[in-house]
Amino acid sequence: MKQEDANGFGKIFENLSLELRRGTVVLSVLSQLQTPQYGYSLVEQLRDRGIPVEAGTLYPLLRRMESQGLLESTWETDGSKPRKYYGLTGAGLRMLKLLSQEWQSVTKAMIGLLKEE
Amino acid sequence: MAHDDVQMLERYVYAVTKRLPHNQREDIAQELRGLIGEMAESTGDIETVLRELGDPALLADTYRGEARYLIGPRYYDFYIMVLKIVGFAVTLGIAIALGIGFFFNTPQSVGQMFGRLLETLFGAYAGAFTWITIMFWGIERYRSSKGIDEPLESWRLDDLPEVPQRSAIIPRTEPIVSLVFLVIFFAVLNSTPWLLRILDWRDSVYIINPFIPEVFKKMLPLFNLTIVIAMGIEFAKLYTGVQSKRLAVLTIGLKLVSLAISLYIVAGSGIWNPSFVQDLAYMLQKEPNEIPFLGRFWEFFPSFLVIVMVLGYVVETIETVWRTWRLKLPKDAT
Repeated sequence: MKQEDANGFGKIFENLSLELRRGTVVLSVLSQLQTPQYGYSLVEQLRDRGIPVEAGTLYPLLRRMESQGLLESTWETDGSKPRKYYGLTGAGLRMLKLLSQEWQSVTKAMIGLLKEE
Repeated sequence: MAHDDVQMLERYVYAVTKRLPHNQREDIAQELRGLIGEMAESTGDIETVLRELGDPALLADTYRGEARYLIGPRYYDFYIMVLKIVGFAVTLGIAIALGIGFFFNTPQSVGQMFGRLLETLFGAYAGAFTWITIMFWGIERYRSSKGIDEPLESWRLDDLPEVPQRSAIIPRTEPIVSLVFLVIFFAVLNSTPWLLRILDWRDSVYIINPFIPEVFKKMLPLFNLTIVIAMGIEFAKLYTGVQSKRLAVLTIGLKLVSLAISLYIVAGSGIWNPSFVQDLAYMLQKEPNEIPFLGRFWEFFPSFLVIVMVLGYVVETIETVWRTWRLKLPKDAT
């Protein structure tokens, strides 16, 4: 019984922390695409810098952000394998600035909240 | 990459892209091939990579991004409620209709009886389920195509319904009971032509039909239409759950349509069998002039029905209006 409870708690934590991180993915992507990159190098770079995002999540997200006009893409076919490079558009850059400010104010407020504990 | 690996990769890519719109397939396939190739290079094993990417159907869902469902959360509860009520009504209605049917036309064995009961029931469940689902799917598609369900912008504080007065609340049992009766009526009307005959059970069976069968058959869709309208009214009551001006206007309007159809059937379609009294007299072994009362009654019967229906409509309308406006309901309460 105890064991089950512990498992349930762990599962809930996993879900909640995933949910907490989910909101940061778009901003993370915007921040890393000021110089264009192709999908998998972005996956690796985000993972190495502590924001792991699954490829199955990131690839569709890149397309969606492209359709929202935040990113633009070009196929590079020079190398041995064709790669699709994504980079920020003007709107993407503006969005990055706005969302960064938003992030700053949220973290500041959150730090305040957590200190009161 | 080994041949097997390439094959597996292609199978995976196909499993994802076949679920996507045509114009995106090629591009996404290219992208996925690149991604899987790259991931396989760093892990060395294509199976691990594909497992990590997960169920192709889910990946395709993520690519599509939009919700894929028949009936969304907004209507789901009501949908389930309607299914339950209709299931209950259908069960009861069919049991009663078949019960009457068995009385007149006794099945040869208990097994046969249950067989027919189950067959009819499952047919009716399947039909009811299909139509209700199609109806809700239609509403769902219509609302989302109109953007009616777009959140927040279109929502105003004024849209909140007034807390209803106690007396304005329609008890759920009221429409449910009506629905049960409507289903029974529907089942009887559509499955049991014997009801329209008067039988002589002493020794032989005379078939005497108050209706002309061909006309009755032609009128059956109209009969059914009035039943469907009545069901619609009951569902509207069930959905809103509160007496309101809009509901009252809807009820009065729809009932007027029903009344018009019924009047046509009764008075304008020539559905009544003119030789009914004669046949009846023959069965009773009498001359028609020996039962003058019946003859006159039959002559007057359609007009009698017309009067009853029109009076019924007027009384019901007055009652609805009185009940609704007496409550001093706010305009928007729905």
